[in-house]
Amino acid sequence: MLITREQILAVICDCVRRLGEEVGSDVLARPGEDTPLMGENSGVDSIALVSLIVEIESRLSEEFEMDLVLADDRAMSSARSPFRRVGILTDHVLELVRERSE
Amino acid sequence: MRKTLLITGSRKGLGRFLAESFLDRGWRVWGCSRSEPGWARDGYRHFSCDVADSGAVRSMVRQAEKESGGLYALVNNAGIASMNAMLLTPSATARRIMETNALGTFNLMQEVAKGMCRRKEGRVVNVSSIAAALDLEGEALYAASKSAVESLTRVAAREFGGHGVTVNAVGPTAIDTDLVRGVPDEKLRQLMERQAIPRAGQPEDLLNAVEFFLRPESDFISGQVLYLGGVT
Repeated sequence: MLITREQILAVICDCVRRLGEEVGSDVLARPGEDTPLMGENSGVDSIALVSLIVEIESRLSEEFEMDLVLADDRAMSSARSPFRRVGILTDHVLELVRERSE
Repeated sequence: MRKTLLITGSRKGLGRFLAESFLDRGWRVWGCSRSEPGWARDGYRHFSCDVADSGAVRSMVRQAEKESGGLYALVNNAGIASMNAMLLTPSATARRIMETNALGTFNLMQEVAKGMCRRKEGRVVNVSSIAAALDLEGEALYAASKSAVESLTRVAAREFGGHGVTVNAVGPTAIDTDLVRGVPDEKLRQLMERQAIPRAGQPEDLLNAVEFFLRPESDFISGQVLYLGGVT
């Protein structure tokens, strides 16, 4: 099953949108490639980020029947976190999908 | 609607006893062990899974979540023991005990709590042991692994508490199963004398404590380690 970047981005944006509605954040409620997911201005605290990652993993599993671990050793030890922005996270997931498909 | 429980180490001993007890009480029960269980009942689903293998645990839990519609409770019962003086404990044995008992508990909690936290509801009970409380000689790695289980219990209680998930532990006394079969009778007698209630533990004693923690009314109890036999 070929999974496109657009499909991954759609899943991530939907999860971020739901989080935005939950926490009452206008920025998160209208997510895009540049929407920050970390940092003071993101509106996403550490607990919310954990929940978001878990939610995205679950949605990816449901929609694409692919069990991915987004917070793997590489992501957690990376000098630049793949969870900084929606677009960067999308690229990270796409990379994981490609590795799984090889 | 029937609640679903996942219990590890359900092939025999206390794990099987707990699994069958909860089936008797109308629960749906998912169980796991490294090999096939050799028993079956309506309402029981078994997985072959080594709890120390995080990938295998992830696959099992995701399948269990899909098939069950959501796990309400987890009992981390799977555990191994080996009586050795510290000076004579092989490193492979030491590693295996820590991986199964402590890391296995962590792996299960990590995967199962994902769904529980999303649903804002769940119960986790980890099986510890009085070996941790009493620092039993000859059980260094077993006691250390159960101390790790207790610490994981307390931290998990804090991390999951805001999501409606309670995490507690039960520390049984020696109960007559394969786990204690190799322990000399004299040692068991000495151990019993260190209990406030000096009798042999029964599987029903463990069931009683696990049931208490799983009750809906126990939603304000978390991060606790309950030792049986009056051990403190």
